[in-house]
Amino acid sequence: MICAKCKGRLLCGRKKCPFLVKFRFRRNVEVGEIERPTPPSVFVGRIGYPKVFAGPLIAMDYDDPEFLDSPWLWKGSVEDVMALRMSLVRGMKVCDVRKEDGFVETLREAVASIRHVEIECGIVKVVEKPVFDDILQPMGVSAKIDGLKLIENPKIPKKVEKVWNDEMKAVEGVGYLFDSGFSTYYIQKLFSVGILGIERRMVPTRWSITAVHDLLGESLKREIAGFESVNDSMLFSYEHFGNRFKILITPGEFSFNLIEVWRKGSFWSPKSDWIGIDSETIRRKKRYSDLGGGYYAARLPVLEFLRRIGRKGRVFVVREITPEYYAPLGVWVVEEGVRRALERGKKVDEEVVGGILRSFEIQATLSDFCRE
Amino acid sequence: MIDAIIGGEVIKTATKAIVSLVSEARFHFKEEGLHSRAVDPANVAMVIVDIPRESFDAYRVDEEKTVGVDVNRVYDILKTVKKKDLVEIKIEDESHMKVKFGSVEYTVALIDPSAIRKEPKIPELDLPAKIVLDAGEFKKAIQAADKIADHVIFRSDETGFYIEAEGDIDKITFHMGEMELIEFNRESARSMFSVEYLKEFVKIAGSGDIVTIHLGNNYPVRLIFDVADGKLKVEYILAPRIEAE
Repeated sequence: MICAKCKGRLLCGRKKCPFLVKFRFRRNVEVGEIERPTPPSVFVGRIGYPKVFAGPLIAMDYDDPEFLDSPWLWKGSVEDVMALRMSLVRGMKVCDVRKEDGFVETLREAVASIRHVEIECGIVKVVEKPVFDDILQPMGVSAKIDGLKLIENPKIPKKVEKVWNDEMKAVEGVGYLFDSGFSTYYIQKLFSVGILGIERRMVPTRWSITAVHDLLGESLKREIAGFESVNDSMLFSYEHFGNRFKILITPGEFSFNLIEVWRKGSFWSPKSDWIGIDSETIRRKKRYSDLGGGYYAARLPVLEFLRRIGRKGRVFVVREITPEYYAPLGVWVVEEGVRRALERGKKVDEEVVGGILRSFEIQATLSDFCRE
Repeated sequence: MIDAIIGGEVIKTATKAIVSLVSEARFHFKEEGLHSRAVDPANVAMVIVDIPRESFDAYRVDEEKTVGVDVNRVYDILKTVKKKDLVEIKIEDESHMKVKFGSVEYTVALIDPSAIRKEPKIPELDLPAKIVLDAGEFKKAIQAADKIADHVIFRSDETGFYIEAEGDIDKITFHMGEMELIEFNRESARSMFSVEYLKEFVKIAGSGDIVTIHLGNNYPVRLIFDVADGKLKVEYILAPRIEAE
């Protein structure tokens, strides 16, 4: 492993060493009782499934705990987000995803809250291991905890209580809350702790994020299927955290195409440029995308946009990842990037778009061949 | 009043062909037989199903009628029917259809035909090449291509008919010369198609069935399957994928 040999001298070609940066922002935690807020935020692991580590993320020192779990508000550099997130300690306890005990109930109540909640728990052991993941947001050190208690009442919206108490399928619950205006991040947390669905069980956070993106995406696809096509081509762009997004929507039947360009020196591709592509039509996407969870994260805001304007079209999203993105921050970078791009769109010259389009292969429709 | 008796395999295959593209369709009970057609929501493919009057064991249509059918449900029920079983279809009023087989009588509500997506016009197509081959062989080629690629090229010239698929590190070529084809007019044509659709289409075909392919250049393809001992004709029209310039 190159990291052990290099010890931060950047032999890998990255711009900064993610391990060193992470280490710098790390907070120390000691064994003992603590009283701290959770934003609320939760982490359910996937290793050892169905027996996994689950628990709240606890804010060690920050006067605005909600901000620590509100990706849609985050700005700045990769380092800024790392610094924010490193102040969260990951509390964990072994849980069977199917079992419902006092710990799980308390965790659910905390997570369902839309404001931060003061919690009390004992820290039994501190585990220092860096967590980097393409889907998850970074987190600080982990600590084994027990005796989790809420020391203030969680504020739980009526609609969430309804989904929690009613026998509603997970897919319906997700759709209902989304249409009621709750953010995908909040729904993902509910999904992860098992508040949604008839058979309630916890879902590893990593899976829950993509599951929510996929469920919502597929149901939005059915909604837009009958819409008319956009009249003109539209081009949008946005850049944050070293991720550049370009989105092109052209007239025609719905299709979604994601092109990922990992520039040399970005986190997953230190040695060379790498380009990946995946796409789908209006039909249900069958296989899990080769591009991973980012694919579903990019698709959802595009479908939201199409539903908002009441149109469909051929959609091409190009995500270019530069060396500035030297540590993965989670798929919210994609979801927010695409969403923000679409909020500040502009139309472009038809001829320019035509030129770009000629380099793609396109599914024709039968109406292209019908003589009027 | 409509009362028709038909072999299990025929009606099962006919509904299977329709559900490969849509879940609801209009059934036209006409003097000359049963006709139905539909396009998929993406408007990429069309299915046209015809069961001529002669293919029914009994066919009584007092008055020509169009009804809306939840084909998905009906197909689900018919899955249990054996090839040789007889199935009776009965429509006494506008609201329900009865499907009887063995001792089972299944009643399903009909859908107002106007609530079903408008039926497509059948495009007039100028397709030079005509290729006739065993549908089972065709099915094998599509299923193999599906393993490695999401699109295939259909190509014909004087040397025969080709199906080509290319994956990242592998490729498949299917070739039949004039001798192996049942009928071939030696015309040149070439178009590319999505395997996602084709693999659904070939599900209705087995060895011994016949498929007739009408192929053009970057043009939709017509695939006409003669299945269930020739008692059923299913035609698919599929729009091509247009390649980069």
